[in-house]
Amino acid sequence: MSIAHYLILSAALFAIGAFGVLARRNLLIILMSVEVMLNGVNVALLAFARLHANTAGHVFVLMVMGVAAAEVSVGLAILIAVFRNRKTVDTGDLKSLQG
Amino acid sequence: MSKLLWLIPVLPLIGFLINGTKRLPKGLAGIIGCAGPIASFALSVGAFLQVHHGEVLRQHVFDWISAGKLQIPFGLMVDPLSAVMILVVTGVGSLIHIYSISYMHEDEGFSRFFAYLNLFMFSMLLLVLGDSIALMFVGWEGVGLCSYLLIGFWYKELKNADAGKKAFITNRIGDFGFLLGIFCLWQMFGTLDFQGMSRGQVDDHWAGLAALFLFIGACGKSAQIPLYVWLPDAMAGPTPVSALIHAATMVTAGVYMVARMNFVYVAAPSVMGLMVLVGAATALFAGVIAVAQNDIKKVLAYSTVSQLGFMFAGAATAQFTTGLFHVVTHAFFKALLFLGAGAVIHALHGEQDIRKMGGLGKKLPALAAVFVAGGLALAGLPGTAGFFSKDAILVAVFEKSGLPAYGVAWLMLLTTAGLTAFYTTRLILIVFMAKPGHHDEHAKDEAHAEHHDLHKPGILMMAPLAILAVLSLAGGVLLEKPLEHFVHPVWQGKPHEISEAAESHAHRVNVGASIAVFVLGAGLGFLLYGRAGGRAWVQRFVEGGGRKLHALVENKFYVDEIYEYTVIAPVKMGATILWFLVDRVIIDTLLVNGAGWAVYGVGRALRRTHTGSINIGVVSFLLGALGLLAYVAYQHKETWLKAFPF
Repeated sequence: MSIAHYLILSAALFAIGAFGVLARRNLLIILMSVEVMLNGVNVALLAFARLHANTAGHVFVLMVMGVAAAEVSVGLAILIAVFRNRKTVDTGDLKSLQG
Repeated sequence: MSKLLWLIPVLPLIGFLINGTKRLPKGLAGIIGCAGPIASFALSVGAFLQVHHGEVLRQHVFDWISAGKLQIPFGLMVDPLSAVMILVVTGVGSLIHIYSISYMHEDEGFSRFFAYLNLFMFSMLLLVLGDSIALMFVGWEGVGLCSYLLIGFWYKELKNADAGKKAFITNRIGDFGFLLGIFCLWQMFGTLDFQGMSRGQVDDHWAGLAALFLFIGACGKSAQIPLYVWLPDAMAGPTPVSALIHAATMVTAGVYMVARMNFVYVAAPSVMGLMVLVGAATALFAGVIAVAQNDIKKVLAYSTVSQLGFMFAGAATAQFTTGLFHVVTHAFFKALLFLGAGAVIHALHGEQDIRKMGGLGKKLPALAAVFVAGGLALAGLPGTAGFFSKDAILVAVFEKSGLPAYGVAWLMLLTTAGLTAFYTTRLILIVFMAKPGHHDEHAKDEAHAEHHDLHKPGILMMAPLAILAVLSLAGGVLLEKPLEHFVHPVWQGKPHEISEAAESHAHRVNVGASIAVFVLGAGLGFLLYGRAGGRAWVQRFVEGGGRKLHALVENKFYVDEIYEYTVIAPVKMGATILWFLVDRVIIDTLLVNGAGWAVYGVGRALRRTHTGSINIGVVSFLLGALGLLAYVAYQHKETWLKAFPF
């Protein structure tokens, strides 16, 4: 398998995630889609690390995973807080930032 | 002595600081107010005696302005010219201060009055003693300020405050010229101190400009055409102020300045020609107006303007001593006349209209005697101070009458001398001799009633008057030759070249002419105002054939009204245009509020983009990120085109 296969997989994951973020209105799904995007990036990083025989890529992936874990916990906490306040997690209804 | 020079101006300043900050009992305030000028007078006498031995006293007090090439120390100097001036200023000034204790006794602003008066003394002494024209300018502005404060001393009446403003603003015009003159001097000499300038190279072009601009300044301060209009109005101030500032000292500052800058003026003969014409025209014009005035102080005010014209005409002959001599004698007799007029006004409880006076000679004989002494000196009775100084000016102008300007000026001055004798006689006869209320039947009872409780002047008022009366009568004989000899070293350039025969011829002609016009003027005055028949004739003339002429002269040839329409109205119009168009429309509306409106409008437009929708936000974020990525990719297109050769 050449590098191209890995990159195509990575790009596909990223695009699917991005589509999810853009198209879905449920905050929970959006958060999950963000995770998919992050993993798409992780695949690319690992593929390049392997190609160049450079461990820096691995380190970055571990870093991304750590940050993603923290981000998800904070994101879910916000999501729960929003739901408690507004009784909804639909982005179509959350428009109080309108100028 | 030269170590103590700084005390001469500073002593009155101390009086100003005490009286200006503390409200002391009147007795104490008066003593403090007089102590400064008297002490300064004592020091001035000391300085004068030392200068008399041929020394020039200088004192460097401190470094004032120090900026590159421009070095102006705060230095004082007493040479014969300034010695004469400080003697006059402190001497006459002290007498007027003493007089004021009595005159202002019932005024609630007593301390304030003495504070201003002392501040004036400080400024005037600084003007005279300063050793550079920059320092002179400080004093020049200072006396202008004090003049303003004292004219508007009774500020509760709008008329007085307006007179103060008029004086201040008119002087501002002159001061602008003075400043330009200073710049020309700096351009020409590269220094501003008198000693340095007098040794410098005089350039004809710059000297002419400097002389002209400085003369404009002198026109403002010394009330010459066209800037004389403020001085008659300045009589709104208390009478001692009129005597001190607007007769004896401040208004002569212009003449002093011309004498001080003599080395510039001798290099500018065309400016001198202009000066002699302006001086003579002012003398004649003001003299004519004085004839028809009915306010005792207005008569004296126009007479002062007229005499100042004489001084400038004298200075314009390059025989500066003649102008200075008239400054000195005029300080004596005009201070005396103003103080005497003040005593008359005081006696009549504030009455200034001469038609309501009359017959005061019998009731106040001592006052009448000193007033007549001053009047005779002003009119130029042979032997009095005024005769000598006026004659000296006439001789000086006559000697240059080969030049047409001087010839015309001589005729005008001679006419003025006659007019002076005429209006002085008129004033004295109406105030002291004629029956009260003669001219106006209606005022008769009123005037009689007032004269019953005359407010007799006390010793504090009479003593200064007596001293000034002696000086007015004898000052001319005593001072003419010594003054000429004493001040002579100050004048530079060629000594006055004229053959003895021509000189004695000029003297003979002028003495004869002076006596003739005096007799003519005074005789006509007696004829018209000394007898009931004459007065009746004047009355008929004023009400009949000469009505229009009389109204024209009495209303000062409508000069104030002409200025109102030609100068003040356009300035006001311009100010209104600037206020409305520039200030309100352009600055306030367009720039200040416009900036606010612009920001507000842009904000209103941009708030449409804040939809609050998360999806739109995310889409724009993504598009932005893609855009940035595309930009970076485009920048590095060689690199990836090599890696991926499509």
